[in-house]
Amino acid sequence: MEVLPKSFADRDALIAHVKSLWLDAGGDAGMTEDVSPMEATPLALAERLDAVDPQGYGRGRNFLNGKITKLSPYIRHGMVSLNHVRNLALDRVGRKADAEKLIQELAWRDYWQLVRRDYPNLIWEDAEPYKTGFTARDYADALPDDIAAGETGMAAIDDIIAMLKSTGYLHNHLRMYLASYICHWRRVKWQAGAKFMLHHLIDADAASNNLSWQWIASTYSRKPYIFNLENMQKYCGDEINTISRHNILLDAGYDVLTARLFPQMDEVA
Amino acid sequence: MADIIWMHDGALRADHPMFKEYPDAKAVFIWDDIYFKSAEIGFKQQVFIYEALSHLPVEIIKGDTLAVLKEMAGADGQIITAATTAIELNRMMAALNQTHSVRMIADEVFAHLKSNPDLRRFFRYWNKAKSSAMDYNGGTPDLFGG
Repeated sequence: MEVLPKSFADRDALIAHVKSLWLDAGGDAGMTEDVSPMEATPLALAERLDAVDPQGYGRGRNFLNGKITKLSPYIRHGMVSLNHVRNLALDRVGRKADAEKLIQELAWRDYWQLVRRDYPNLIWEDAEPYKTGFTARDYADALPDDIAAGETGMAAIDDIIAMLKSTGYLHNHLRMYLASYICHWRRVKWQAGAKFMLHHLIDADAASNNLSWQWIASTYSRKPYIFNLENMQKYCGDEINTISRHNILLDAGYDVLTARLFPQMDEVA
Repeated sequence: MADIIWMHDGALRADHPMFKEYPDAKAVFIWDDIYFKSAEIGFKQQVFIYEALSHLPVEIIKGDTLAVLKEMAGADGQIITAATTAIELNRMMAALNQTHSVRMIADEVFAHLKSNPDLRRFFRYWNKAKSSAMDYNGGTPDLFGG
């Protein structure tokens, strides 16, 4: 039995060690170009917990610069329990209701875990038919190369993919935009996109990730989730390029996009 | 042979209830490439996991999860681990259970559910979970359904 080292001169040495393990196992060298700046240390976790602000979260969680907790990598790996975060949230508000939005988002994780417990086949199988006017056969099996490379030509989407690959983390809203673009603008099966995201996220969890993809795709919800450039401009700030002429296919009203993306939807509604 | 705590990637903390129940058991994490591949755990996530392990009272052993745990537990040792819903981990726990006693210990409760919720939509779950989830430690379980 080979016991692996736990003590390293610094973080770079630890990363180099994991890289050698990855390459020895036949892993793709291209995947090792970036590591997340988010550290899995007790200090980093303590700082994140200190920063939890349930009221700020409730007000601004949809904005990229909102007071989100960024605790998902720590929760995913059981470094902190949902119970601990919930109790902390309750400690920091005068009225329980002020912590409800944050606790409800913690509940989404609990919910997806229960779904996986009871219906493990839904991690990779469609829960229900698509409600887009298309059938699963109309969606591509494989992720197109330009998406994997982050070269779709839609600047905002390419920025999101670059952020995913370089940091291993995305704000929830960005995950929703990217998943929607892949499923609905490109008509790719949610499974292909879910796998792409799992391979890059440091908080990758097949339950939360894949079932959320099903929600976006409409195979686990009543209708497909779509967005438009105006929505991105409202929530993204300067971190994402949302200039209109760089995002032509995203820049339209919801009625126009719905008609364009789901031309047969009325027939099944 | 002694009891072994099998720490997996869903329970990387030293105050998980499994440590409280078995304070003297040796803890191991198996660095298992085949498992990582089957669970779609990529390079960046592996760095995160390794970094977390480097701060925990656990030995990291490279190898095949089932083979390593069976060897360490010997004929009589019990394997203690954190309960999970992860498919690949549960598959391995079921395989271990063929030859060994496996104890799966649940994490702290988030929400006591009044009854089995309809899991087809989140809000049907939330309506049953909310009163418990909004209370410290999930409040008191509703044992008699009253």
